[in-house]
Amino acid sequence: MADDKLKPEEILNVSYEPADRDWLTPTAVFRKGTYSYSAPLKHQKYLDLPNQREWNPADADWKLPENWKEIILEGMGRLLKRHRSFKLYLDICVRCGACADKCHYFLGSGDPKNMPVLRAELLRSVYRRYFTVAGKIFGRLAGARDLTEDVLKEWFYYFFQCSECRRCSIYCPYGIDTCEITMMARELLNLVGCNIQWVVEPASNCFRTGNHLGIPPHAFKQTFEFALDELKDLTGISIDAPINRKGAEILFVAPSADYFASPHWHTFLGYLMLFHEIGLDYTWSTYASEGGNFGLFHSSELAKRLNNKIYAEARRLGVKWILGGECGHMWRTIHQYMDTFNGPADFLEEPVSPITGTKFDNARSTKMVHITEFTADLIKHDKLKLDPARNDRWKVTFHDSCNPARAIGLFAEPRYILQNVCNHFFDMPENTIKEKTFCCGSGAGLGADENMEMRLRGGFPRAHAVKYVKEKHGVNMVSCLCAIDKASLPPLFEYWVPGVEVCGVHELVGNALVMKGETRTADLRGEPLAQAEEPTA
Amino acid sequence: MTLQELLRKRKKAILDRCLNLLFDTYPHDSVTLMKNQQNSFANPVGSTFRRELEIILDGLSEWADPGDLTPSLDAIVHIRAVQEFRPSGALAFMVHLKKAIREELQGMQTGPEHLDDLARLDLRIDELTFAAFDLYVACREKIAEIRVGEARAERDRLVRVVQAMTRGHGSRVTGHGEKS
Amino acid sequence: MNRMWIALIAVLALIIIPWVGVGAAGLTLLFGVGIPYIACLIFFVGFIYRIVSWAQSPVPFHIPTICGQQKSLPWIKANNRESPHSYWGLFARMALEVLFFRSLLRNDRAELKQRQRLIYSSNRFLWAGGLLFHWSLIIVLFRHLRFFTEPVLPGIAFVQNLDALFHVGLPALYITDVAIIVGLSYLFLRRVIYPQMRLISLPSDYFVLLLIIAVVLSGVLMRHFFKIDAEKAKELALSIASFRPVIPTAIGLPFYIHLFLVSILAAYLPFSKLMHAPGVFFSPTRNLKNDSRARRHINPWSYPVKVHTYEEYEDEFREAMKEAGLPVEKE
Repeated sequence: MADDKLKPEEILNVSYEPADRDWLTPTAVFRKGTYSYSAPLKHQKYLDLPNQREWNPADADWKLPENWKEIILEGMGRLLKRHRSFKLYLDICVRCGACADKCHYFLGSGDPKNMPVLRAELLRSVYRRYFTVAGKIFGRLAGARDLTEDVLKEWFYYFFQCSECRRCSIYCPYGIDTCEITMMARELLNLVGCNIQWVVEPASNCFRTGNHLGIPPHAFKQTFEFALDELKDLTGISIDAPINRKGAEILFVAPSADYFASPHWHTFLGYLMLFHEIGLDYTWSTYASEGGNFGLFHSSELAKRLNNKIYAEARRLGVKWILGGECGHMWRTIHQYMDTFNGPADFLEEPVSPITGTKFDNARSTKMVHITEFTADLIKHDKLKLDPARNDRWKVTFHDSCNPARAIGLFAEPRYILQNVCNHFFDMPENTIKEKTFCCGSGAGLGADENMEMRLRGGFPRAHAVKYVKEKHGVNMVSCLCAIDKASLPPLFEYWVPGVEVCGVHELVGNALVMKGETRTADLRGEPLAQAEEPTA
Repeated sequence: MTLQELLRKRKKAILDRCLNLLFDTYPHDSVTLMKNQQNSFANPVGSTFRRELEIILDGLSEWADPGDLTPSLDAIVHIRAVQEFRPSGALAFMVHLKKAIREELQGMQTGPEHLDDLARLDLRIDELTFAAFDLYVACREKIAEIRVGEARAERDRLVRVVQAMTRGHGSRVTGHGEKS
Repeated sequence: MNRMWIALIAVLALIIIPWVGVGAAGLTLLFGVGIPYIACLIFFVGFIYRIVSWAQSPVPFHIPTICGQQKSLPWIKANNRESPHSYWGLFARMALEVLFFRSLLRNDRAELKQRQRLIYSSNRFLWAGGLLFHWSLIIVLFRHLRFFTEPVLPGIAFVQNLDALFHVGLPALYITDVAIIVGLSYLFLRRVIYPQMRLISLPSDYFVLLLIIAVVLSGVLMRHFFKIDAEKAKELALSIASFRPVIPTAIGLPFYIHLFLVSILAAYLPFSKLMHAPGVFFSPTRNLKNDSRARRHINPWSYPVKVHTYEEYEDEFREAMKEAGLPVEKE
């Protein structure tokens, strides 16, 4: 709702016809609920970011440096030299329109500048003006426009309205990836100090403390105590969770939301139970406790700076290989960037499951295995005693989180696990899952509460598909593999499909896992087990 | 023919008219996709509008209880309430509904015998408009509630962290960037 | 809409130039030999320049967009075409993309169809229209090789005969001539009819479509209606191709218009979006295997960055860590 006060003459002006305008004219209106706050000064400082200052996107004056235009254009030239993707995707788009209705923000808002093609044109128009002959000569006729402050503001508005989910890319006949365009646009915006709180603050916290909330190591350890106490109450078993232990075989890295947020917490409990039950020789780390990489939403440099910790810690602790928890963009970073950023990981060994002996050949260079690959392998080899009936109160569907889906192709592993740990599993319609999955609407740093309306718009296509399986099969639980999903889907469903809850895959694993010596009457949420089994002595 | 029969007969035309008015509240360039894409999941907004408006129109021509129509109304209002509209713009589709029916019936032989029913229909639409207003406010309240919920969850997290930091180890809450 | 008119006027102007140049001023040498040579030069130099300029920008990160199950555990069936793990898979993926526009056909299997009779799927029409146009274009270009070879190579004659299968009219009407016009018309009309297409279309988008339409129409017209002297046209083509240009005699004005438009198209191509044809082969979201955890991808411009080392971290938190019973490096 516009809380920007209406002027008297505007109040009765109830024309609902939007103005038809040439898209070359910049049109960003910073209306509350549709943009994110700017990054706080102290975090800009901590990360040594350019043009440090307090500023507000809704203000007229963005306090840009005097030579901001040169900085941007110079930066653009540099990015063109460094990234073939950028240069190519600026050059070869034929504007066929195949991507137009594939963006969840477009589908939810109807704003034409949310069509991926037009989002990219916002940048492409400036590229044409300064880097192509036709654009220099013909100007607007060639779809070129001057770089002005309004254009910069429009970039900020729309490139922080793209969750880098890459759905449009799969429909493009040339694979043009709006995520690449958005990443480059954000790199450019960063050069003049335009970034948002929800990216910079977590990144700065991760840089300093290893987790996105800025929690120091002793408090981090204490949350483990909370978790272990809780597990003792739930299962009657005393579980050990080694932290910063040298010489362990495996380093486990999860997104740091898992240690503090809800419903992530239950997934965290699930990991702890699983590792205890199989007797895994592993360790957690306080220094590298965040797998998620908020730097990726900022610049490749910051992504690399943050990602560095994982290999550094693996080396320090002397582990053999690394196991990674449930997280979306963390896995984009690990699968497609980590080895390039901070490899080669020649000090590690090729991952082999100590329980089943399975060699994870697909991770032989990066040496990091996804937890669902690991657990699916355990189940296949019958290493876990599972009672899926314990999840009978849930009718479960699986939301393919964008990055594990479109960066890794992780489709079968989580589904295999789900089908083994619960009795009622239903997939959503074909064009909303797997590589065609819809984003939660809050990825890539857009999950701030001040951005709620935009998030609800962007998440509507996902919620709409959930509503369908809810009505058809009575689905009441959406499982997923992403910390941002776990944070943003609950409010999304609260608005669009009340009565549907959200969990991680390993929460359901934890529920179904029959542990040696357990006394269990409640699931990980403290609700009575659907069919409480007699405790096995 | 009674007014109800007229409405039933012209339902498709009224629905199209009404949908067109509704779609016209979106940027011109986006509308074709919303109008034409028939796959519900490829076009969640357009398909919801079409489905729910049809239910509302059916309901009106059956003199259905307004309460039975609120779920449909709610589905539309939910979408409009988070989009780029003022409150008045978000609910304009109810005015469009009235307009569409009037315009469509103009060409038909409506006579004095329909006047009572027309007045009754107007009243019914007005009732629904008020219901839509309530639903709209409920949506906006829900959004505010969700935001508060997020803030509260954030606070709870921090409380947990503070507890964790203080429990048994003295207080060692270090500020960001301060080296201890 | 203005954008479309601008493009239309530009194409009409391009038609008038040879009309005046050859028809009125008789500049057959310029239009028959000079301009085609210059256009070819621009085409080849420009084309290579663009390719080289793309090739000069490295691919720093391994960023394919994956559309199928990865190869992970041996008992999970991997999808080698949509998530290639071998070069065969990659080849298949690229081939499907380039030859059959796989991505345009993705999904849109209509679930929950609503009651409307008309099933509308913009992508499927775009796919069909695009395929019709591009395949026709390839065949038409291939057929044109008969003007550049003497004796005509057997494959060309075969395709030509196949293309003229129905033997309607004299000279026989080519199927691809009809198909390319249908395809182009659809591609053009959708940019005119659909508002969202009008919004995203630039003058250059209309321009290339109209230019190609003009090329095709001038070709068809001179074959079927104005009946130019094809033998003389071939003589000219052969002489140009063998770099021994002869001054052509009266071939007919439509031929010069056709040749001029083709020259413009060739010279314009390297500077336009038509470079998507070679570009698709360079696209890192499509031309890489999904093996980034199995094989290290190198970033050639990688540089050291400022990191927060464990030592710095422990220095800040050492006392608290010790108190909490966490192991530390330095006591």
